[in-house]
Amino acid sequence: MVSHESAQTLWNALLESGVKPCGLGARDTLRLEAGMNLYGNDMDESISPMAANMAWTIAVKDDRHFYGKEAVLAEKESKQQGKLIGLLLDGKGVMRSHQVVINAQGEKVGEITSGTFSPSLQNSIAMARVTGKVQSSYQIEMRSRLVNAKVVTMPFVRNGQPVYKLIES
Amino acid sequence: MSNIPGDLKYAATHEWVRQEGGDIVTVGISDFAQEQLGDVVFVELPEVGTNVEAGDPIAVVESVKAASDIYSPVTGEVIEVNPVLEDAPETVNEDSYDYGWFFKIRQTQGGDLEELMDAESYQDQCEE
Repeated sequence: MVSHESAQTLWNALLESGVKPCGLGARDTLRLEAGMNLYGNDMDESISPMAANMAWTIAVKDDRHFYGKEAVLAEKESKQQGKLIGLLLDGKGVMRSHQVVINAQGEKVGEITSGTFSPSLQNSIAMARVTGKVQSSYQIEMRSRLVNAKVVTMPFVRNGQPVYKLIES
Repeated sequence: MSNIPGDLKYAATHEWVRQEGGDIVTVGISDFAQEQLGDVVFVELPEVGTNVEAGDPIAVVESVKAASDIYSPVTGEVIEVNPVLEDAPETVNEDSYDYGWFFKIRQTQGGDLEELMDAESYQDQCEE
């Protein structure tokens, strides 16, 4: 920690010695490559852990009770809120949050919650929340175009290397 | 300091316009714009033959950070788009004024570029 009087001097000295500045853009590509949710994008108070790929954080199989257990179990049963999946774009462009996800039957089944261009994969990746049985691919509505995206496991990248696997429906 | 060639006209939305003779203009985005966008990873160009009006969003630049609309600075017909950008969108970062051009438009309502800024006015805008 440095005092605020020294912050500017330190920052400039770091820049001069060749340290590259990085900010929210870098943080966002890294966390998405790692398959980590961003609160407010991929999850919030209204989304059940089951629909946010967070079921692993909750012990529902034993007898212990916790506040909200009934709601979690009900959601696990109904799957009403859908499921958070990883997508790898099969074409050019960049998936962005709120783009519509369409299934093979042409139905709108969800939307992208986070999307970016992965610097490690040199390809666009995204998380999307979809309802219904998870398919092996979806179409993404990108402005006037429909672009195909494959469903993959997350994380997408670990230690700079691709680690995702395709999901068969 | 970004590069702002004196022989081009500029739109407030950071497109540059080069008069190619006749009613034809070439359009791209400024060095300032490409710097602000960061690494360009995809460019969606209009179809050749599309009729456009000045101010219409007709292309999209995707960088890692964001998707940005590109507006037509003139009214006319798109007669050519840059084929290089399909496979090498990073050309926009590397050479925004030459190899990184976006599209050519044949103006249908005269060759009047008076609505656009000269290099000096554009420079002022970028420094604000």
